[in-house]
Amino acid sequence: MLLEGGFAVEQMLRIDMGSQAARFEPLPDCYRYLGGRALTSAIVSAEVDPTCDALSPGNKLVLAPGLLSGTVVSSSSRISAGAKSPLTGGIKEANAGGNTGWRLAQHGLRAVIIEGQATAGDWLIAVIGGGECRLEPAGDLIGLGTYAAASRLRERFGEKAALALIGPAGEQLMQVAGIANTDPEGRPARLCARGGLGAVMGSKGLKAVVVLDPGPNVAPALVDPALWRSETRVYVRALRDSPAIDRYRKLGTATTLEFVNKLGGLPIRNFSRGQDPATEAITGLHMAEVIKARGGLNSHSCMTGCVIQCSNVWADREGREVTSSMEFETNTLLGANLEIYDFDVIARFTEACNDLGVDTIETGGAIGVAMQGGVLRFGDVDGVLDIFAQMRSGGILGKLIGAGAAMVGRVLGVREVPCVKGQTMAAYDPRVIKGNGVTYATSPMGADHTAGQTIGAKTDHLDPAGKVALSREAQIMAAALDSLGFCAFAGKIYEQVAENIRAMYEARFGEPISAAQVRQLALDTIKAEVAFNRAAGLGPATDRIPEWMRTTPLAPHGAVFDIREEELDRIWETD
Amino acid sequence: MGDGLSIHLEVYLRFRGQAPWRGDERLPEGTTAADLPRVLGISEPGLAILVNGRNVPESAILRAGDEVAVLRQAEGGD
Repeated sequence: MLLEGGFAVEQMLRIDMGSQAARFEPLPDCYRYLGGRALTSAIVSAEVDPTCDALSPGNKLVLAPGLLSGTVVSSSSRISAGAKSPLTGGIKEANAGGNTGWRLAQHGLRAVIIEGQATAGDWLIAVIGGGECRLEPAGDLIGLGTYAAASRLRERFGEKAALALIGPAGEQLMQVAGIANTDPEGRPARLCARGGLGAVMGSKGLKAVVVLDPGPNVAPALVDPALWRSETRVYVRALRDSPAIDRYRKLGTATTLEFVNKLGGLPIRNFSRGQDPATEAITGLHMAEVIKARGGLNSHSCMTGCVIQCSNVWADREGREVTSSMEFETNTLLGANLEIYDFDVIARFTEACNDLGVDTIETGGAIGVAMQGGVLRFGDVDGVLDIFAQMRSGGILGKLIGAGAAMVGRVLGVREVPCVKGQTMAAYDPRVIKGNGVTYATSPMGADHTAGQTIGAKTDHLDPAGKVALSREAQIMAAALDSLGFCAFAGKIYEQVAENIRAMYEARFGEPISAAQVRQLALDTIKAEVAFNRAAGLGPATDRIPEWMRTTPLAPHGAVFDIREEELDRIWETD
Repeated sequence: MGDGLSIHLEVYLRFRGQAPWRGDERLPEGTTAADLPRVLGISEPGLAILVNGRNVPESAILRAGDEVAVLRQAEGGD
């Protein structure tokens, strides 16, 4: 890395997979105050033809840490991956924990732009460190699952290297493929999961990005280190002391299941019911007790320095680690949605998905539609394991599921497909959790709860009134956090620490930033993404919850999605 | 105040030695959603009180026959 005054000079790295050349570029002024999602979407908007084939050389995959990433300050170094999505046909940003964002920012890299395509059959890895980026043959890593590949890379490049890599699904250009990032212990279990960005990485011929340990105490330049220290201290103390955060530290996200089940909006049997007593077997309350009894971990940091520790480690009956992490979305989409109510089975599914390098939401959605279509019966554990085996081997059923739920519905003639813009909804049925329904419909990201989560609002989720405004504010908050580099759970106390975070920005860049400017950064990002989608051919007619969810009532409330289209179309008109 | 009212209660916490706890519960007339944790002796903050499967305003008065669930407010992450 280039050093100036002991700090890494901030740059971008451009990797041309066609010519197998990598070059460092000065950070353009227009990107100086952009990070994470704001930066990936700005670069994709500027450099990618919206009408291109997402798996062609013309698409670009951009990796960008957040604006304030690069230190071990808790929950502040998420990695954003952005590109045109092969799944939605629109722009996509998917972000994750793990240590990739931290390491890239330590090297002064605000963005890594991966463009072009290697010659068919050539697979490479990119090794970043020591002021250079080397492209090397991927060799015997090809065909390996993410765990085996990560293990070999860590043996070769050291346990402190951060990895972003794809599994067999990404190699096969499956649209359920994500990009796996390693956690502090080296598990490739933190995925930039959504939108098929692993397939984009695979289309480039890139198996892994290795970001070497730059050595101790390396961090991005700070204009005012004393201010940074004092403000981050307040911020971290607030995270440690918050009862709302403490819950995630003790129980992770899994207790959301009983909450959404009681609300009547839990996806069960391919989104055909919203509540079922059988879910009692997979509540978060139960999960925490089993993890504790077996000697797993109920608290685990997915990235170095995180004090929220919402991740966990599931162990089998003998106390041996099976997977990390058991999350609400996964427990629902690979559990209740398939009528499988057994944590040990869901843990095996989770491990298989992590090793394949796939999005558990899209994969669970696709299998649910396949069950609806009669390919296998609901509750068929062995059938699901066979699907995963076929995804690994390239069997036709594996290829079908790997194409995502919308494609499965088209092939099998199933109308009940829980997708917007071709992407599976997360574990909140929009007929009941209507704010999330607005997010699914109107976010340029497609049906992605992380783009605007409303389940935490003290509101009657069944009542359509006010849900467009609720989703809009949630989407703006999500875009802000995704751009600054912070985890959504840090956002749980955002109002409390907003001034500290803005002061951290000032300490980092020497420029103040107002609350209005943070909001504008988020809004500008979303509007640029909407513009990309429109140019890609995704008009307002794609900003819709599917018709069957607007007409088929969901038990137990008999709810349909009933927010007027005109309201959805006007969501970005104000401001 | 009359003889109180009876609701069906589900508590998704460790409560009275069980997790979850379920049963019929008698409450004083006029008990609101916001009152309920205190009436039950639950001190954990950040709880959701669902009445007949819906979030209700904190001031909502519970009625005889209501199905009430006390849960931890939580959400899936990213």
